[in-house]
Amino acid sequence: MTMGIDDATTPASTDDDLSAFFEQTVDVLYRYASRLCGSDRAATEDLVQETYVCLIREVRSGRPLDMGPGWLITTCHSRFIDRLRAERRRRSREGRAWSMSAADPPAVAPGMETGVLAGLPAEQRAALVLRYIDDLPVPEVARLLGHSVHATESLLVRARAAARARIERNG
Amino acid sequence: MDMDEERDVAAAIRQDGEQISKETRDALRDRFESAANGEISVIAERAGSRRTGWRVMAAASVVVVGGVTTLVYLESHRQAEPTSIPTPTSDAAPTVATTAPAPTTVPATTVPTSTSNASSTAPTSSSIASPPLGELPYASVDAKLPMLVAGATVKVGPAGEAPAWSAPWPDLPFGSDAQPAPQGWLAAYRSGTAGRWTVRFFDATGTKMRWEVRVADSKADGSKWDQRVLAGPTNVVYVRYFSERDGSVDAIATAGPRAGSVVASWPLPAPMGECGFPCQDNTPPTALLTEGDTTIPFVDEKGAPVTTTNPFFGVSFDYQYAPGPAMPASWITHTNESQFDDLASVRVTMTRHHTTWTFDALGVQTYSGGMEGFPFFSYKPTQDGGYALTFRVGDHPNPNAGQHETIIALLHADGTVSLYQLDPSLASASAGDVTADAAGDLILGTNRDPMTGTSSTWVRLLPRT
Repeated sequence: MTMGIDDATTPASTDDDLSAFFEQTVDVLYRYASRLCGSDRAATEDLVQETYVCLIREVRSGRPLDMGPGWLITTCHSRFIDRLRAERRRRSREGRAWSMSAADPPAVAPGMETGVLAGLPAEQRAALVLRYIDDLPVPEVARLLGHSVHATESLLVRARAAARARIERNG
Repeated sequence: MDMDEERDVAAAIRQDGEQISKETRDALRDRFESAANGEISVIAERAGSRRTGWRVMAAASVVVVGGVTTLVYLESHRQAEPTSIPTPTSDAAPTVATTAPAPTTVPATTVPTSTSNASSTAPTSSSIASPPLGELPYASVDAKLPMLVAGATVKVGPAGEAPAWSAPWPDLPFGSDAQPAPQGWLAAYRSGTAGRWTVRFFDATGTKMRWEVRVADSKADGSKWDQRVLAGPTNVVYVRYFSERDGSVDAIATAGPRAGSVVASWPLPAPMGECGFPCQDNTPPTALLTEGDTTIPFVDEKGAPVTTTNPFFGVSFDYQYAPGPAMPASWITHTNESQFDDLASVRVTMTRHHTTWTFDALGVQTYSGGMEGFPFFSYKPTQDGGYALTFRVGDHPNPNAGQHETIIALLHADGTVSLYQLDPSLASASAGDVTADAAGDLILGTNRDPMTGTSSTWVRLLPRT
């Protein structure tokens, strides 16, 4: 893991420590979510909040707050991927063409137009983040995204090329 | 793109991402504290109550009367719709809220164990209306929904008889990710750095080797790999080899006199990347290839091309989707859970061998964890005199999703059974005709992996002799 959130203190199991946990983790979680969402601020905020609500729900359901800060990252990308899958199904069901390479680009936040991930299709962003931020092997990325390994390899090739183009364009 | 370029891209991605602003941080903290104090949870529970109000729990048993399969419902009841739910003021309440029937409890129905009168309680085609799609009775979900829980046993043989089977019958495990669980493991070995590669196929436990086959030197030249595989529908497993120069796919028999032998092989022109892919019994061989490559045919254990091993051969699914009344948008935005979409109905029409089954799913389209699902089913008797039964099995790996796969069991008039698996959205069938019209007892169960803590639900058909 390279996102750095694991460096945060593992939260205690009392509700009072939830706020402290939030303060310790929100910066890293927000940045992580921002990568997934391509710097779309509204989507990033939603994703961060959903992740924290999941945490709170777990704690309120009686689970000790022992899952560790890395749980937030896993939950965050799981929810993002779930959105992707839901959107994929919706488009498929409604008969609209779905193309990974032509997925809706995010609404990039002002000032973030030069970001590497901003403007990339959602599936490409997810693949790059899972591969290079979470350091997951390709088969695991494929499993999470619901693709074959080979399709994921192709997806990563396209994503890297797109990211490379943005890097070069941004100088 | 070489390794340096890939490293540069990875480094750039790690530097990417927006830093949180103070305003955003404060806003998120406020919402976080509201959630921690229960304010958001209250709304979520309210919405959950509505969903619970739709939930119909039922237990079912199936008996066969004179060769005719009959569904009899042990008990079912509809949970009460809470009356204390305040109606959202900014949006119109959904139709379900205004037309939902009063809380009812359907008295338990005794299952006739005798074979003489059970058929009188069976639903008939005339007793189950089939309204046009989009006009499904959102507020009157059929209380006779047969949603079985893991551990239940559905007898599709003559009632009262003990199950009898004469040969091992495969369990049909479905993993938590809705993928069929591995029926075996493929591993490659070689002795020393210069030794020849040997592919070994182990059983599902990984402790018993079934067969091994020596790999030609021209294949798997140094690539390190270890792949999960599933025995194919015709006792053939497809193995893809990786090479710096090219690749190939071998079809290896896993049963029969040629078990462990390569019965067919196809070259792959494109070099392969990283290793690891599941070779599943419902994976078309085209999935093993690069995009745009030609199709590799299915072969049987003798290497002869076959066309009927595709579990969906002869089966077609048609999906119709109709949106229902909109849910109040405020419920979604306030919870920020995206937990509910609009009311909706889906009609799945499955045609197989000129026989059509229709399944209607309706209710609140849930977005728990982002996965769509239609937890409520109605059904129609099949045209051949059998019945369709739906199961809900499996949990989505996302602990927040709690989604279930659906298994449709077609109980034919002759007592045979066919199983199909649909994903939570009903948009695709992910497993095939896994029982091949066999007769027997359907048993649902759950396996729990003590090592990982994960569980999977399986369906097993115990054939009768």
